[in-house]
Amino acid sequence: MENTQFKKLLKFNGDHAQLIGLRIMNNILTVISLGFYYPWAKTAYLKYIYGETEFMESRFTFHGTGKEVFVGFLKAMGLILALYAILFACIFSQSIAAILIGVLIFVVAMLMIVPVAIHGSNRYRLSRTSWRGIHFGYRGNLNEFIKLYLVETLLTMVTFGIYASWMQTKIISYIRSNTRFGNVEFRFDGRGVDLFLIKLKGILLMMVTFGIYSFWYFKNIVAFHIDNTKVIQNGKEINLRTTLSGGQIFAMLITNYLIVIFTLGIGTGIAINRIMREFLGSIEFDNEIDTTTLVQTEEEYKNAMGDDLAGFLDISII
Amino acid sequence: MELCSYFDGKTAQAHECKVHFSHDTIHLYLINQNNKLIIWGKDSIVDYNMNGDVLIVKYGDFPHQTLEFKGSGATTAFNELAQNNIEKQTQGLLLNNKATIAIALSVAFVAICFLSYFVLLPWIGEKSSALIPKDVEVSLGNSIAETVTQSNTKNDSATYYANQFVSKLKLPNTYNITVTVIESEEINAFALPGGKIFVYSSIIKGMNSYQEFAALLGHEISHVTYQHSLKSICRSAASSFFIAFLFGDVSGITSGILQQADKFKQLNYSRELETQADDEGYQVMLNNHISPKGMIDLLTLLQKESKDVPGMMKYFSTHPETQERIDNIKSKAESQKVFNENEELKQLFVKLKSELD
Repeated sequence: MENTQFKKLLKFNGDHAQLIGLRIMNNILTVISLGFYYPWAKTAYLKYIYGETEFMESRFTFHGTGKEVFVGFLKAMGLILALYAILFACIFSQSIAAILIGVLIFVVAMLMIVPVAIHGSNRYRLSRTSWRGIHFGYRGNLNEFIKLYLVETLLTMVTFGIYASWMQTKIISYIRSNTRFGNVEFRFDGRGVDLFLIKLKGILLMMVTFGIYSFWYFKNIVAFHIDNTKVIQNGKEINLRTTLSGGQIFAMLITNYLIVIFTLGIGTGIAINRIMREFLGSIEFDNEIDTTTLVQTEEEYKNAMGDDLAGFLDISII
Repeated sequence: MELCSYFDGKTAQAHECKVHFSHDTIHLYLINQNNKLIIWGKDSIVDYNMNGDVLIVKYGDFPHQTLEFKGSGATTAFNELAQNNIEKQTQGLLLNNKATIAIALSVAFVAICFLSYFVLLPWIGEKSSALIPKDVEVSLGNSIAETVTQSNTKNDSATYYANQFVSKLKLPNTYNITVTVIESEEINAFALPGGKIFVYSSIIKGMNSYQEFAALLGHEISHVTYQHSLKSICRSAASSFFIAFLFGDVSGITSGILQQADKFKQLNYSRELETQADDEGYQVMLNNHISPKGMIDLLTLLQKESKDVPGMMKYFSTHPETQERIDNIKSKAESQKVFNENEELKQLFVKLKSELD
């Protein structure tokens, strides 16, 4: 392979005043509406984040609407309430068999909700994201993904968590390989053993350095995710890498922490902008995407239930 | 005519384009294709959003056609599109005056928070304590009382005389008051919601007259009658909830600092309650024709004992400065006539004390 030149194609433009204003509005409206504004707040925030992100000099667009997220929010809430209703009905029946069955249903359902949420969230978010009019998409199969998730969880449990790195890698790999951007495909080459070694080294060095190593550990995790992601267009591979250094993360997080504390949280918007700027600004590509052959392939998908479930479960998806 | 990029929704290729806005249509001229004309009806525009100085307009069915404006052209185009859309107009306002609006909103937000915290929350806390039924309050007090009794040694005969003493007092009959005497070196007494009062043996040992004991009971009974514990619990629950709600997901440290600050405010509140309990306890003494001098003696006893506490710690104390409390009672007691001794109470107090020696 010839010696390739890496260049920065991503840029985050976020404006502090705008994000602070947005967050304050979102907070106020969410509080006075007793939480019902949340779907609209979330959409406004995502529109901001995507809209401020620039790739090859064009912005991304998030097409989701508050209404979609609200409907998803109701469905997700209904599902979780129904599960609790079954559980409590079984408990109040006072028959041992019913209680056992109820708890079993609850635990199994809760285990299955996580992959359902990850799947749904990816489908919704990616489908509602576009760049230069070309939509992203997710083609993962739900049954396949649930099976993968449950088997991997089981393996992680029987190995007392040691297998977790392999599980994580397999799941990222599944999601990446099913992600589409028009006719552009993705692949994740990270190996479980590499992630495991990063974590092992991280734990050992953090103990020795009283946690100071955590910034460098964080850098390794970010690099593991970015450097192993490949973008494939017309059979041609584009490689990614991050130039983020541990020192950079250290300086950024410390100053962010101070900003957040001394503004009593109002400056959190500044911290978010700074993180996005450093993070996206650190990613480099060894080739551009060919826009003339980047064609629309994905269909529209508007079901936000999975995304809301993921929100309840605190699963974060970029 | 504004310049922008046009994307047809089929490929990501950018087409340079000139745009002309009219009343209900938009005319697009593709510059590199001999000014090929595309006409958009304004009512088929799906969405348009301004981020920074970039405007993205989406048009038609999926896959949408897209226009991307940059720089000053974006603002012009945005204003053209937002003419009939109030929601978007406010967004435009935000874009034009970002800093001013953000600062105004921040100030308004902080003001609302302060107002809720200092005015609304205490009120809600206090009102919500009134919503708790009396039997719930009593059973709450009883369950706390049970754990207190389990972890301490109760003096049964002293408890008997203390309750005899209470039964001879004329009290507001809202709660059924019972006293428990506990063996302890500590100088202390406290009241639980619903009427259970605990008195430590050392404080009684330090007393010289039944008037002092009556003063102590008067003070604690007032805590019960005015539901002070319940109110404190409700108030602190309301403020912690508020702080966690506002700052919970922001940073552990910020909410930690605020929670400490919140404790100071509660301390201040509990001092208010102590002063009220002194005043009402004083009233209980007058109603029973007991000389308020007992309360001054009691407070002097407490003052003597708290001499050992370093100065700084007093600042953190839940009770007001003892000297202030003594002055408060003295100023009331000056105008009072001399009371006759109540022989019955005097005898009961002597018996009570003898059980502790």
